[in-house]
Amino acid sequence: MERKDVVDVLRRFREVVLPRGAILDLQVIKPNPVVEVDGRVVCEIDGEPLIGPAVLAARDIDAMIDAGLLVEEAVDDHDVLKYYASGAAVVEEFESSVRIIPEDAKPMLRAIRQECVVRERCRLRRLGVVVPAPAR
Amino acid sequence: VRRLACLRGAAVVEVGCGEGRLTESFAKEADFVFAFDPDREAVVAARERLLPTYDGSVSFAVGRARDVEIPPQPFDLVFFSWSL
Repeated sequence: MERKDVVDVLRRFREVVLPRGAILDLQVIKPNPVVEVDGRVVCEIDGEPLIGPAVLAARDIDAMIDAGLLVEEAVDDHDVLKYYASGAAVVEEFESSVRIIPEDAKPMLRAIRQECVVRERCRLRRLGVVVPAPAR
Repeated sequence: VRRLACLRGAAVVEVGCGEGRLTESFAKEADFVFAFDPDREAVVAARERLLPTYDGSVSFAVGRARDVEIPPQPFDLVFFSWSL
């Protein structure tokens, strides 16, 4: 999503769940995602192309909270795990991703013929909508 | 998601549904899910996989969050999946 659209989109979907609904926002957060084999980290992925915009989007949400349009009701930080049949499958999927596997790690990953797990740290925020008080 | 929101009986909008991996989890509990994504191929794949089971309770669209046409009904939850 274009950076300039974030606030407009949040405002639009805030209207969709008025007056008692909620917005859930799932974002990637630091540290960088990693590839694991048998619970051991074998490669770090450059997640900044996703993490950077996510940080900026979180600031936009914070600004809407400060403006009294949303209220943060809950936060849950957790790992998202995605399983791949092999290291080659990881490399193939990330060829079309904005996140980057270092070039010098690709041969090593392609040689892994057992299950790989990509672990990413994520934050889920529950945002309640605030109904403006009627004007007096 | 279940730790932070009650999906049972809810009407849910999923922004950035991709191929519908989370849509299916929502559909199992929610009354209705409207899911969309700008990636047409991903939405086609989601439709093919989920509509045979959830037709009527899940609706898909191709579009962007700023201008997609949202069904004119009340919703309880909007879920942004890595999409802001």
